[in-house]
Amino acid sequence: MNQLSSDLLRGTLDMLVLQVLSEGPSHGYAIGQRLGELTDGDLSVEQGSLYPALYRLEKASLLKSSWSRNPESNRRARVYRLTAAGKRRLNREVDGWMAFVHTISRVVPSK
Amino acid sequence: MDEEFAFHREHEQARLEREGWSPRDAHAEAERRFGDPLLTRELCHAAMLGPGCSLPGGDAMTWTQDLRSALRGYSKQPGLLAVLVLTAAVGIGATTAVFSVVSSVLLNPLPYPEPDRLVRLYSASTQMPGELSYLTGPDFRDYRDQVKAFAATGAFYDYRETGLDLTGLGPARRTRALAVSAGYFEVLGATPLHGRLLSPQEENGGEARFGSEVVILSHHLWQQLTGGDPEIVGQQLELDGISFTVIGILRPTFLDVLQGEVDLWIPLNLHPEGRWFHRQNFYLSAIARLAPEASVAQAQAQADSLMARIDAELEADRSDLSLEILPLFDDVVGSSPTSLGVLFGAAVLVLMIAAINIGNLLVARGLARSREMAVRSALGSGRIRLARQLLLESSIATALGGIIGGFTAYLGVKALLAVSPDSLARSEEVSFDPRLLLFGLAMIGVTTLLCGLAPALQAAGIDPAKALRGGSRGGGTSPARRRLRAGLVASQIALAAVLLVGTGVLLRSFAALHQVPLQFDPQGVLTFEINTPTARYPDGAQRDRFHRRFQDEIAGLPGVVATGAISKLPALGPYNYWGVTYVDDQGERQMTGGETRIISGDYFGALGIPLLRGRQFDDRDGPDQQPVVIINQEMAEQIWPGQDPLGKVLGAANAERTVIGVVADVPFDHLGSIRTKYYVSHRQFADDRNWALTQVVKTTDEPLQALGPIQAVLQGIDTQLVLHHPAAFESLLDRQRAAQQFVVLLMVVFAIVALTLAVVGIYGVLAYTVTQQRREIGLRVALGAQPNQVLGTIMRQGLLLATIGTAIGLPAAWASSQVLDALLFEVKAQDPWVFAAVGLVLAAVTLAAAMVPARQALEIEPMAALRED
Repeated sequence: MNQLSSDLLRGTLDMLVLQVLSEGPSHGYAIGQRLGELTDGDLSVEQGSLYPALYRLEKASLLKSSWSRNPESNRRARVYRLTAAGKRRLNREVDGWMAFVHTISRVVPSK
Repeated sequence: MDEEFAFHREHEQARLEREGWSPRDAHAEAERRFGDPLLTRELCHAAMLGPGCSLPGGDAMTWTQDLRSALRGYSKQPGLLAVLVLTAAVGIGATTAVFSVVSSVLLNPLPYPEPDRLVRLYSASTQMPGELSYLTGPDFRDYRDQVKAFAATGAFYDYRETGLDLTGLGPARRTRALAVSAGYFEVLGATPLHGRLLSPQEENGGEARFGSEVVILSHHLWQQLTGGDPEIVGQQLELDGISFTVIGILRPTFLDVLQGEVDLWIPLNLHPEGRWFHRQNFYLSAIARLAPEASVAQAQAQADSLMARIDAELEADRSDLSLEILPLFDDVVGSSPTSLGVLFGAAVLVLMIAAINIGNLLVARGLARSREMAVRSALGSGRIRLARQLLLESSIATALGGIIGGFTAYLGVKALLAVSPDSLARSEEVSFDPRLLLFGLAMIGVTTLLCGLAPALQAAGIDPAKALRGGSRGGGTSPARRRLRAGLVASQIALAAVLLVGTGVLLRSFAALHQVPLQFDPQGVLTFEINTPTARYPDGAQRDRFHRRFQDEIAGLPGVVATGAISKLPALGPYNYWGVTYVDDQGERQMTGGETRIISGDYFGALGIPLLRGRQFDDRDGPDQQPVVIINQEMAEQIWPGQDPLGKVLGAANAERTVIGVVADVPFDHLGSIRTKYYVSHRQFADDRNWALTQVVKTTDEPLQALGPIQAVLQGIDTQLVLHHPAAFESLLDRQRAAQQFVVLLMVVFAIVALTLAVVGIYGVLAYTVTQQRREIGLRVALGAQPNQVLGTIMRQGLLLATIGTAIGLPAAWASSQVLDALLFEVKAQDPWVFAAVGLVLAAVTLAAAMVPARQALEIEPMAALRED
């Protein structure tokens, strides 16, 4: 198993959330599920810890949220979507990340 | 937000159920995977507040965030906040209340200009070491005129009972009068509101009773009599039937600290021809104001050389006499510092116990939140910031507690002073003062630090990685932290032990005081004072006729058993200790002293004082007959040991008097002290001086019920006489003990509070231990531990705490109890019974406090406990 440490995760969770939402609007639970799928369960965090990140990103105007009725149940779901600023930030973060990974991988040999 | 989280968990539960989990397990698993919802919500709030939130820093923004976060935390636990606030209020309220009295009595200077220069003058005699007496008139005059170190010197006639009947303005009333010399107001720096004060010519009344017929009114009497009419200056008042001219009104700010509530001041007669003005009559109280630059030592040296010169001129040997100069402040405050010091110490102990309790609760809360703290720390909150947050939380509780406590303290002081008005020197000056606010604030600060420090330090020591790994309940069970809490509780018990010992000793002393054998029976006795003004009762025969007629008519009232009168009731303090002479076996005239009492009617019968030998006064002892005297047993044994005192002659109260009887000793003060005492019949004294007599009426009922009929009898004889200060004798005796009562009452309150807080502390720690050890206890029960073994484990932990606390507290109490000695009567501060009792009480209370958590431990179901986590 190759669990990502929480320290490393802390810096990158924002980017991952933005990445998931770039695929389309989604509610919190679905974002968590999608993150799990994309990482094959390598990200083992408590599911609740996703929400502070969502609120923080919304506060920074990178996300927008709205309530929509879920057809499956009669509960309302809070749906998040990327703003224009969010898209720009995601692009910048991905560029920075790729540069970072590129630099690190030249030093640390991949297995 | 909650809706969003619920939505999340429902979806997770549904997904798990699709994977084959049972609905119940799926529900639990969904909650587990989500994590702590409270914490998540907290973090979301923090996230919404802005980007600076989870970063270390000290700007105003983060302060308000911390404050909001603390308030939010409390809003979820209102019960906890209430307990914290109440505990803080008790501690701060107790200390502030006592401090308000301390500051008024001990810290405030006397309410006169340049109070440091005020001194009190006494005569001291090497023949009576340790006893101070008043000054004689000539001595006072010489000190006043010739000691240059005194800028001003004043005398007053210091018998508290001095009163004058005021007639002519409304109904007749008895007023409290103080006869003073002209220098009295000058010494105290008083100035009149209207009119003028006394001039030196007005203290020269020749042979008259007063220096001159002028009077100065207190502000309150002036208000009561005239509603504040300045025109009264220059008008006449009737005092004891004599016409006096009002010459001045004092300011409302003038407080007579030497005598308390004085209604009016009249001039002393210091004329050399006045009948009491000679060097054998020590009757004047004196005060002086030191000249600028002069010291007490200079005044003392000048007074000593002056006396030596005068003695040489008089060719008298008075070398045993000297002037004693005391700072007026010390003289007024008297023994109050000790009792106030003890009370203040007790209040501080209560505050410490309260602070420890708050700290303990916050530590417990900190343990429950160690995971939250760890996450915050992991998210970048600095440790200082976390400690700050915790201090902020405790300061909210202590600030609220301080406000409530300060307010209740203010009301409490008023209530306490109402309980015992006579018990404290200067109690009339106790009032709210701004220093109290400062003191209250300081107390809040100290309490906050004391309370918040332990949890803050502990939070700063949390290792985030460990705490996060430690499961949802957090790493709260480390032995170090349990020891911290146990240590706090043990120190609480130790402090409570000190307080309990002090209270116990004072209670025993108080009980001893109530068991003082009075040697007379005050039950059912009504007392009141009647003064026969000289103007209308000019000679002894008329005064005697009045008293005999009055007593005869009272004796005929239903329910009255016996009636009499005396110049000063027993057990209420010394009064008129005069010199007496007798001729010893060698034919030498010897001098000693005795308490002088003038009696009339059946005084001994009314109080049940047995006559041991001889007879009582009767019709044979008229004013023109052979002067006689009745002495007490103490005097008989002291002057004529082993002899029959009947028929012997005693020079007492201005006559050679034949002893006709011996009565049993009765104490002259509330401590049961016996002094030589002699009784003179009013009929054989009334011509000499016109003293007001206190009537004693023994009734079969509630004594105050007899008052109405007696009032009617008095009206029938003389409508202008005043029935002054009516009271049941027993209530007068209670008031004597009030000084002790004030201290004891407060100490008992403090001790109960301390004990309650300590019990809460023990309970809290043990209840928490049981919660923490659920699994362990469950396992032991599963492995076959018997209920009493489980019970025993918890009880043992409680007893261990109590033992450690008591082992520290009792020696500390032993060491500190000496300060109580000055307050104690017939009990030693280090009373072994009290120490044993306190040990037992603490053990019993601990066991009681441990019972509840121990029973909870018994109810743990092993399987349920093991399944948790």
